[in-house]
Amino acid sequence: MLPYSKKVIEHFKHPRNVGEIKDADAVAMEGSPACGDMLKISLKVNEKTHVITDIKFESFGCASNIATASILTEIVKGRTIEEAEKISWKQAAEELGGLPPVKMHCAVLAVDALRSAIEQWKEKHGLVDKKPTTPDVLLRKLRNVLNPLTGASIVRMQLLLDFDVKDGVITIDLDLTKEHKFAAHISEEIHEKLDHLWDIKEVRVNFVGEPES
Amino acid sequence: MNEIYLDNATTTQLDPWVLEEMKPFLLQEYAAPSEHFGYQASLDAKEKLEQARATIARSINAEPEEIIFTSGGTEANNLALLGLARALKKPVHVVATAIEHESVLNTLKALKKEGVEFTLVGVDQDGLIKLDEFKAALRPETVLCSVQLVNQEVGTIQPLAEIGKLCAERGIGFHTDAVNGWGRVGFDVKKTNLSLAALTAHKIHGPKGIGALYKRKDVKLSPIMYGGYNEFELRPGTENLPGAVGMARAVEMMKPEHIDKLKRMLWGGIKKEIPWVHLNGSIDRGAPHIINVTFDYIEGESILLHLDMQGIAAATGSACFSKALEASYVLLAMGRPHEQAHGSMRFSFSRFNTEEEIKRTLDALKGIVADLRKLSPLTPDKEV
Repeated sequence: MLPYSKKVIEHFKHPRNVGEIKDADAVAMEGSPACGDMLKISLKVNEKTHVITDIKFESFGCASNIATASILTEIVKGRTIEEAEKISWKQAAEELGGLPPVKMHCAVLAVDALRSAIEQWKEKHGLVDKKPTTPDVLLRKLRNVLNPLTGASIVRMQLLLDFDVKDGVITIDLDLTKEHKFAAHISEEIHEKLDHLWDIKEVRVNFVGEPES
Repeated sequence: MNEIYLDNATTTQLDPWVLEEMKPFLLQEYAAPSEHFGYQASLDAKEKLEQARATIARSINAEPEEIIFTSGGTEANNLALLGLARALKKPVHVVATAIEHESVLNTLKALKKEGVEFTLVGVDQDGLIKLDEFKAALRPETVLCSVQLVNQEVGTIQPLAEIGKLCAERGIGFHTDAVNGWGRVGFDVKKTNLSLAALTAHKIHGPKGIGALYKRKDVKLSPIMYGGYNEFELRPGTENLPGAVGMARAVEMMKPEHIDKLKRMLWGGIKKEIPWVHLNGSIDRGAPHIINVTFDYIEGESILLHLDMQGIAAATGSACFSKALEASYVLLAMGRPHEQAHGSMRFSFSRFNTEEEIKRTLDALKGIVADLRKLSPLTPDKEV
């Protein structure tokens, strides 16, 4: 068995809040089956109090994917969307008694799916303006892209050399070689985080690291 | 230890009879096997070592002096590839399949630094080498082809005789990683025109830490480790006599087994009772001890952990289970999409498995797959 905490195993064996809310107020899907990780979250939110009255999830993914989704639904049920969207992937991972570094992205995926659902609800209720994708927005999103080897953000690990957004095209330079064993994985994660943004046409990820000799 | 062990393509249980055979050489007859120490105990040990060597040689239709003991299959593959490339003082090109074991692929990658070039040949949807692609990959400077006997993940048996003939016609050396087929499928180094072949004991109920390289008499290798003059000056270090004796006994005990029946029983049951499944490989042309199955809409690590909780050990090709977060390169080379590789499980059998165990595994799988599919956003119809 992988080095999973008792709590991860417990949630994996008995996931809470599984399924799909039929008359959901918001539904969000993150990840893709090709990456081996996919999560769907549906929400019921009280319009007056903004309290999440019901939340359910479905997962195509490994044990940590199921466990983080399960615990996250438990944490946010009964809280307001304003409280819920502040929960970070680190908090979710901590609640589970930690995750192995290569599995940290599962916590990111779960939190992302929740935030997308909340954002959708807010959009529906006229609570957000369509904000343009500025470098600040970009940086915030890239903070959630992890190097699977360490489980730490590529921003914090200073793998992000340069980034820019111009005329709907995002350009990202990474201090990694194309041959790096996680290059494809990290590139996929970046595309997952950015491709869908409403004002973005194209995302270019460049691997500009010096090859090791 | 898991109650039901279905990961015999990774390693197997040591047969108690093999252990009995080994015991005297661990406890009483522990002298180093050699003709040079002068005392009787080491001469006796040497004689025993040569008997073991002859038994192993016989099992593949080789001569005793063509068997070099190593620490296992990985070392044997390393010795074959590094040893041959380093013995040749000319540009070297090697052709191998894309689905070789890591001990072949990563050795070839390491050899790039020594100027060796290699070409990886594709396989078809059942994992069989594409022979036209193979022929096209051969160059004037090709010195060696390396094609495995049986694939470690899907059990596909490669047509070694045909490949061996092509190599012989062109004067190209031919190596096989026979680790996952030796003792389980027919294997004859003469009929297949082999120059080199890697063997290991622990996949056929022998001990871990012992393997062998078959090297045809006329093939020249450089040693890859330096020390004493053991094993025809190709593999230094005091010989692992208990291991060699165990390895010989283990291969003698391999015979047509009931495991092919177990394989068909599990796949037959899965196909009949679980919807949305695919076999990766071929049931009739595959090795008797391996099947690889994809369960659509769910992910392999989750299946594996649930099986483990019910005392059943198996393997998965999911990326979530790999250190590099990459799905099985074998299944991807066979043209399976990523999501099918993520949902793949390998079950591999041995003579210690029973029909009762297969029934219990099938029952467990039915429940696990149904539960995980209830959880999956991809499942098309949750009432099935």
